[in-house]
Amino acid sequence: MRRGRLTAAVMFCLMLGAAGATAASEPRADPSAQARAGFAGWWQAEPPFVVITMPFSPPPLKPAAAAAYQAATQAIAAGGAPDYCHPLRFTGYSYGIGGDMEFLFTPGRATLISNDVGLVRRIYIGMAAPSKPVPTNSGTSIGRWEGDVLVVRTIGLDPATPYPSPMPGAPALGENAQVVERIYLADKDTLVFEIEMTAPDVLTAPDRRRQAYRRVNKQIDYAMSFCSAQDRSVDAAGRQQFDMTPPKDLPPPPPG
Amino acid sequence: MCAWLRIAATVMICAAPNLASAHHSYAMFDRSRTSTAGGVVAKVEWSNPHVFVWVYVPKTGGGYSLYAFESDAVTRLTHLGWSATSLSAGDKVTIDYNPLRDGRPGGKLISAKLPGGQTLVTTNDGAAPPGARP
Repeated sequence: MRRGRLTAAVMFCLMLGAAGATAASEPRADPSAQARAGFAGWWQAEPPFVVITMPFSPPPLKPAAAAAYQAATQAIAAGGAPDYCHPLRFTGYSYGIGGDMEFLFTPGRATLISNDVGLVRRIYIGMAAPSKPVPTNSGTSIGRWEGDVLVVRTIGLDPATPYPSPMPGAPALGENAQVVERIYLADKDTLVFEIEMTAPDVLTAPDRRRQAYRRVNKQIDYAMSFCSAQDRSVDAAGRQQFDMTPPKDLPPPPPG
Repeated sequence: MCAWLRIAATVMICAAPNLASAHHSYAMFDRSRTSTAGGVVAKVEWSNPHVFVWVYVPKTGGGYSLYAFESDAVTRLTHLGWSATSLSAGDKVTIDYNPLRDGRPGGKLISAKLPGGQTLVTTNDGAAPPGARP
């Protein structure tokens, strides 16, 4: 009887071991794998664009920042157009525009590329955030998967970045700004960014936005820079002037 | 909405075609009027932040006037069906546009009708025209 019980116990342990071995040999399901495949590719921002809704529901700017933003918008409305040819800097809304972006995945990293303005964001998945990152145009982005939602925290944003828009004369973002994004597929062709911006130097409270993107099923190859030097709306003195100097290689008018 | 927010809204709505173009107000164009000019394409400057189209427009007494039309950014036009070769030098074209307030020949391009009947549109006030969803 005792031998029988012992045999049964041994058999039970062997079965448990076999089951464990079987489970260990099976490939682990990666809940983010399907999301990665779904995220990859080209996307275009869908209206309403964050940059358009901003004036109607402005971020909670501190008084000094609000005054600077007001002055910047009034200067442009009055005909000013300061020289611009600066790389875009990420403030959480950099993709909330009419432009296109591409989502790429490589081991341990997601990369977001804005084709219009050349901003590249490298999102390191699962890496520990550095305590004092060097400020850069894109900041330092650390991502993690929560199921099929990519959560990205970005710090190390350049404190001189114009905020809330890249409008010339806008207030500077300041120190210790942070952006947290929750990125997910609402459906197979709609990618959503839920954005929370924290910027203690210019904001009285976090600013939250939502921007959706529509999948673009084609290759897009028209990256071009934005510079006042090639903008006929702005003259060399920074005024809004419609420059009608004909191109040097303009062909002659038709005969007759 | 306070006055400066209205101004900000106007500037940003006009800048909708692209982020980096939050740099001018479009006040140089009379957005309340639409004019039409027919002629021959002289040149297309396919570049950001604005594509420019130059057109020779026949004058009543003979000869041509050179018109300049500002359009949107390459990105927006591409999604609206334009390409760098949609218009080429020598093409006959009819342009609808918001004229320049100062009376010079040209303005903000609204649409370009090609000889074959195809009409290419641009955004106006930053809003995509009906059916222009990329």
